[in-house]
Amino acid sequence: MAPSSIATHIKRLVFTALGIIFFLAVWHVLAKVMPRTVMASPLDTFRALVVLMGSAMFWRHLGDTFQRLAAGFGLGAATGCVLGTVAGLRKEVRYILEPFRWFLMSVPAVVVVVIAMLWFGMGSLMTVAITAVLVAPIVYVGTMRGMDTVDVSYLETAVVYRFGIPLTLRHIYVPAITSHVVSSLVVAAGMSVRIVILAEVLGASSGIGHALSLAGTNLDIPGLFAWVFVSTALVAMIEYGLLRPVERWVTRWRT
Amino acid sequence: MKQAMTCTGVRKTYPAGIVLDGVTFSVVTGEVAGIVGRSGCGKTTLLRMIAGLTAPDTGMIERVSGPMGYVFQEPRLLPWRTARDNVALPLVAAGRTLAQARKEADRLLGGTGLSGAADHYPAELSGGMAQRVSLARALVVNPVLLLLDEPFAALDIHTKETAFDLIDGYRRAHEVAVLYVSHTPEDVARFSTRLFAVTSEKTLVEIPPMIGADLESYIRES
Repeated sequence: MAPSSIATHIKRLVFTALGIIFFLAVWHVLAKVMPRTVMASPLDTFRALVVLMGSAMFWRHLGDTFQRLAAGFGLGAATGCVLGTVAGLRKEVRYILEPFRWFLMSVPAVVVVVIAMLWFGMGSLMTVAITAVLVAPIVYVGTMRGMDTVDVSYLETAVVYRFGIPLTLRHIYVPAITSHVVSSLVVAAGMSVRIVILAEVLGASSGIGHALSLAGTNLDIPGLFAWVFVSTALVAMIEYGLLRPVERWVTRWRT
Repeated sequence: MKQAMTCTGVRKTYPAGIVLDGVTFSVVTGEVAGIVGRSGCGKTTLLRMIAGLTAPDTGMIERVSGPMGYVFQEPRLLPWRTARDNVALPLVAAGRTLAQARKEADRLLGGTGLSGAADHYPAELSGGMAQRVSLARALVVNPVLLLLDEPFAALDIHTKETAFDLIDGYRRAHEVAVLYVSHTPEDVARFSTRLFAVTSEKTLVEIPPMIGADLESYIRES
């Protein structure tokens, strides 16, 4: 690594650490000035988290949410990618899908949750369906926008050397749209965690959302904040543990 | 020698007006057809129509079946593939395995003096190196028709000579017709076996062989 990039890396780490410290400080001050019945301090939250992590129930709730998240997010992202690619290649498909995209991106999430509860009842199927339906348009738009930015000169080269559609997709479209797709996946990942938890709060008997709801009902404020922390950690894990490394690997040619 | 490409009555119009009109000519394998004309006279458009990238309004373009190589004004390398893979991909498209294609790509890169840069991404190459990779990519497919659109403007004199030698060697060893467009009359005059000029009437005429300085005067006066 060049000295200048090491300096940039260190600078980023230092300022990120400062940001985290500032966040914790604001949280701590708020916890001091607000009643303990509505706000838990960072330390109380951490203690509650340690206790939670020692129970089998915690891992069962986490596992259930993770499964619903993986299924809903995976299904929605795959659908969005495929449809976005097709719509990027064929304008006619884009026009046909536009009303669906507009509707799904305009309708409030809670409306989708209520309708899904009517259609699928309570539980995992409802949660997965809602997540997939709300993730798909975000990834669809990201993929389509990426397809629009593909440099025509590369496509002309593909024509001259007779790449055909499979090679053109693999060697031109996919690398060119990766950044756009990953950006949309990052947005969709954060949203899908919120959607899964919302759906679990409203209509599931397990998962982080259900545990959050129970903690709120029992006025277990440190426990509630601990579950909030777990849900944000889940988003961070998907973004920094999965999506960003994949993006770095796929765009390693950017020296 | 066999007919590699024939244009018959080709006309092309852009919103700004007629670019080419009544272009009729043909080239056979073994020839280097140098095409000259003022800047913006339609030389690149002609090559693009021959390559099938732009459709003529009227007229017909017939190409011999077989692979085609095209060195554009800019290298047009895929930035996310190494130099080796940029050269290898046309062979993969032609049905070779990636291992075979990479082996052949290495041979061509060696021929252009780029053995040491095979694993580099285009962003790590100079403009001249990238253009030589583009030339290796055009030759790797064993083209029967090689289109060169002002390909060596970014190269220094020594590298340009190497590139010319490589193409000339390839032309002598294989059945290939070369169409060469350049703004440098000296290069066109020296490298071409036949000369064509785009006239002020937007058509293409064959002109007698002449040295670079004479060709420059001809273009200026035409």
